[in-house]
Amino acid sequence: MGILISEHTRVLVQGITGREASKVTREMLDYGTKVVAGVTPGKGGQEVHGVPVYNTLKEALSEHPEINAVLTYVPPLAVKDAVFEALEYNIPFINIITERVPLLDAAQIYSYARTKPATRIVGPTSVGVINPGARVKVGPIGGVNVDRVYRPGCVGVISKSGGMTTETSWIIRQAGFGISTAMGIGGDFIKGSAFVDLVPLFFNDPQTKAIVIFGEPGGGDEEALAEYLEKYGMRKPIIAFIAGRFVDHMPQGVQFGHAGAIVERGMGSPAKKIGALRRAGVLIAEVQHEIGALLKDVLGAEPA
Amino acid sequence: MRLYEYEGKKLFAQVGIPIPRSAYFTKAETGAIGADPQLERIFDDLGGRGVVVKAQVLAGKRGKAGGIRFAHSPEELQELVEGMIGTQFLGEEITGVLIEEKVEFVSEHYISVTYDTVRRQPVLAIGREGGIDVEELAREHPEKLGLRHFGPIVGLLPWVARDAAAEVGFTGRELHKLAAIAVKMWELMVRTDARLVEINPLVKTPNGEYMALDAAIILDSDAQMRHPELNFPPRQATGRPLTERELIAQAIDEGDYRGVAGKYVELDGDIAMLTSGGGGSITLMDAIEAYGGRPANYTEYGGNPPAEKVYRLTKVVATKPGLHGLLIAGGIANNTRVDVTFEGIARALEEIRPPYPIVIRRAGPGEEEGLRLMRELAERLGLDMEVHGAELPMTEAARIIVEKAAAYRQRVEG
Repeated sequence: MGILISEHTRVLVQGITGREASKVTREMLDYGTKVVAGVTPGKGGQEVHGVPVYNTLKEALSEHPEINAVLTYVPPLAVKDAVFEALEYNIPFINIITERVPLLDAAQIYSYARTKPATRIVGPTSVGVINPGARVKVGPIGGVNVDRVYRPGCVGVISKSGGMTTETSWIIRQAGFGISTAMGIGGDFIKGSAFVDLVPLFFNDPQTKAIVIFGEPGGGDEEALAEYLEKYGMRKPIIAFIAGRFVDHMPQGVQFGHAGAIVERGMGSPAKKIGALRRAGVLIAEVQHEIGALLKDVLGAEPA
Repeated sequence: MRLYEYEGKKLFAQVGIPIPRSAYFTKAETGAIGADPQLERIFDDLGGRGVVVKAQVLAGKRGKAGGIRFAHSPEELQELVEGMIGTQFLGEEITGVLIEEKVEFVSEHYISVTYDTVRRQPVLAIGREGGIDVEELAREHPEKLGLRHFGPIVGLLPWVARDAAAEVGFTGRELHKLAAIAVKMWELMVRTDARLVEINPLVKTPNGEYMALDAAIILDSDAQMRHPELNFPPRQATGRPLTERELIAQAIDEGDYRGVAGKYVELDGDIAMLTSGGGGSITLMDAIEAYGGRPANYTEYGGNPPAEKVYRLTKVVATKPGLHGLLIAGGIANNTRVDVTFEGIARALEEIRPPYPIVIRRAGPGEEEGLRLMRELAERLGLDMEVHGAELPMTEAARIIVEKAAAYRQRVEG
């Protein structure tokens, strides 16, 4: 099981002929992901690592009606256009890897996506999603040495930071546990999916027994999750590490970390996020690698 | 990017939001001894009875701090301008002032459009009372703030703004006038890709018109590429002038878009940080503090930068006076090459030959080669260096450098 992607996932890569997209396509194929098509307008008829390239999504879908996931890897100012195209064809899962998408575009994407209840968007600025049990990964997550970090197991990971998605999963592995699904959701001000959208999916996933989240300063996603948990209950243990507490005693206005990791006018301070999550019953790791010990506390030893 | 008031008001004028008549006066034009004839002309042009002189700084709450003053004669204006320009104010140097006509008004209000990051929609806020701290108002008297979310594809329609205004007690023609301003604010948000457009205060004049006495605009830096027309000069956001080291670091990324290595914030601790990735770097900063250490800087390199960039960053990070330790650490990289970036670090360390302890923890593409390079360097130069790969938790490396730095400090300070 796991969430968002499975052995039935068939991926189309938007912008597949780009340098990074082509490299990541190779990594996905090597891992076992079924990448069946790509789109780069004007480059239809080419192939990238054996994957056929089409000019339009419509053309690709007519040849490969089984496509049910889109990986968006186009330049920042082209993301809105590409995602609207994918939304038009009701693709169930859209993962936006591109960073630095304008806020207005992200807001319009989210607004249009709300009219498509069957679609789930993760990103922008996502490092991708991996489901090691199904041996499928979308996006650069895990890099070239995926199996060192990711093995199947019962822990779900949601991280605002791409790099820390893998580091968090590594801590989990060192503690003796595996991953049901891990993903980077990006730290942008407006996200296709926030913690509060994904935690319920893990609650409903039989494979997942505990959830680990990596939060960052800025925005209100952690507070929104705390509110959700207080209202609807915590059906599985959640462990959180919220990075950036040092920001509270730094000069105002300095930007640390990602675009979203900015404390503006006292909004989104890590101390407040930690307080809200703790009140809701979330276990807080004071230092990142304490996640391992906390997991052992709540899960005991994972059955082999 | 946060705009100065005078820049914001120029944009207001472009979309038809009423502003007072004004003149912007910069440092380049002062320095004259005795009366500046230009200031006298400005005084006369703005009505000849009295003007407002406003320090152009990015910090908020400048009124309370004395950054907004009144001049009733050209001589007084001269004196105020000379006293302001070039001085430090709220952590910034005042390089220019905005001189405005004095506006009569009967009431002060608040209006803003920004994005609600939880609802993931733009939101309009109208306050009956303005000129105040809006966060405080939202916290203590939420009923005095009319909030309306709206769809970013359709945009802000006048009825939504009238609705918000009516809720906080505006009536009659006020509703239409406020709605017109709100709609223009959204137009400006779209036209310039702003994250925030705020007018505080928006005043009502004796003849019933509204006018923006202040302008707060934050542009979305991710959209700058599609706005060549908005060529505002770059500015710092540290609340203090950049240090020499920060200026040197800033130049690292100029003209080379391969990866990022020019982000450096100088702090007053004694453990140098050479950390990678946004999330990893802030996690390591926290860990250093949690174990009782004090970082000498913040940095984050990433996006697979070339060796040369990381070499230059290392030269900035590791040569700060008074260091007692250096942490070179990051998570398991998905993309950034460890061998390439460590080649740059090794070259810089070879030149610097740090006497203080160094702890390394890194993994990712090219890690065997990268870590080997560092071990060889340590042996050749006799450095006090520990080299770890993924087997050591990243934040454990922070604990080790804090301990080693404390021991080293004791040794050198006796």
